[in-house]
Amino acid sequence: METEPAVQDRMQAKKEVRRIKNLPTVPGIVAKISRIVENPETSVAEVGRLIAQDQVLSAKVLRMANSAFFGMSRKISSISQALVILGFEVVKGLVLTSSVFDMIQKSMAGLWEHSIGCAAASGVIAAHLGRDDAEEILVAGLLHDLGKVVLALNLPEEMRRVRERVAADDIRFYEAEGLVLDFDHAEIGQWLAEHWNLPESLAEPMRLHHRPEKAVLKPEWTAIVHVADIIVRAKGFGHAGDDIVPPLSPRAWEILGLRKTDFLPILEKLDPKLASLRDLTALN
Amino acid sequence: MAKRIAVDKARPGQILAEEITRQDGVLLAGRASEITEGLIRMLGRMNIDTVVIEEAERRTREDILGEWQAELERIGRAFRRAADSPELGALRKTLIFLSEQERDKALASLELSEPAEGGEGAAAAGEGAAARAAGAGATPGPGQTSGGGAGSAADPRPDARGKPGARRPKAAGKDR
Repeated sequence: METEPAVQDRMQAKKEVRRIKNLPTVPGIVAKISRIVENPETSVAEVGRLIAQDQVLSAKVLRMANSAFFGMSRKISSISQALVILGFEVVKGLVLTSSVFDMIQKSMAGLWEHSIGCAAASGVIAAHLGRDDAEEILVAGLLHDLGKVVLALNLPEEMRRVRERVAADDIRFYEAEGLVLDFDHAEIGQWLAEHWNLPESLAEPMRLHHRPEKAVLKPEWTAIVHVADIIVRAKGFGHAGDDIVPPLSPRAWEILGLRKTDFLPILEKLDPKLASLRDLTALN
Repeated sequence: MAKRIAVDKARPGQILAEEITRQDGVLLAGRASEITEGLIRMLGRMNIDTVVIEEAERRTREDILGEWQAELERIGRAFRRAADSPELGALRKTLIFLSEQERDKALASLELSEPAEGGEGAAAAGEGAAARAAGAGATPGPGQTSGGGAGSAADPRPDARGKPGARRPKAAGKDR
């Protein structure tokens, strides 16, 4: 029996999925932190000491902590101070981001800038909506496209085909993924999040930032990252694989209670942050 | 305008646009401090390759307008598949509005920094610039209905009132 092209494609895609099971291992420091935090006796100071042992990593974390993301009026000069001021979840997120910074930079030109732009926009939108978890949502914005990083580094040939399709058909990156692969960067992001034991609050935006209406755990988080992604692409800050503004999910718009007049104050707050974040494009 | 340059191109007297920190976070030189021979030597010893300095604004009117045109084109391309979304339409209009503001600020600051013959000339040049800029950019903020941007708020500068031959500038976008 001759296999039809569609069946052949699916067989090929299954092979690709198996290859991608060689996901990058979670950065050692993140695994260590997760372990010691399981013990309820662990103090914030101990976590701080653990992170501070890696000077290069700590420097990156501090640069991010002192960047325009958080707009702190006083300089954060130590990991323990960062833990006190920004909280454990945020610092853990910054540690994770700093650990994968090199990977992100290597994967796709402009993706790091897009990620920090999306983080800044997520923070601004969350603050504009009066939320007190703006910093944590900002971390979700930082990590939302990690699936693309894995695609670029683990499946370079597939990445090349996707990018060729984007150029040839003038379509969006995730549309090209849908045509060329049997999965997309959102799914890869989910696999990575599972592999790294990331909390569902971070995995959900990674998985659903293009389909925010499907989010169930923290729909507002995913909705904010979704809108932030749109805004950052509209501004042309960084590059995420195509230069087309994605469709805006009506459900996300509704969940957040945004109005068209909100764009102006959001962009006015965002612009100066993006200007000073240009300096964060080299994290060393 | 800030510009990143190689340390070996840095010259004493240049002003830092961003602070310089060591790898472990220790501050070496603060933002807005002046670069000295000693600092350049120290940075070289520490394997710090680049610094960000303040560069004198040298854009011409053509540069500013050209950049604005390019930004409009970029926005048009970015939104090429967003035709049927009123919310994305609002985002697009907001970006266009902000780009016009940027353009007008840059144009006004260009004219204000251009040398003029004496005080009166400078004031007239300033008003003329603001008037031209206001005329060019007096589109009301998107989504604003009442209290729109092109209001006629009185200009706060004392010599803008009643000077012969000087037009009163509209304060574009002032009372958004």
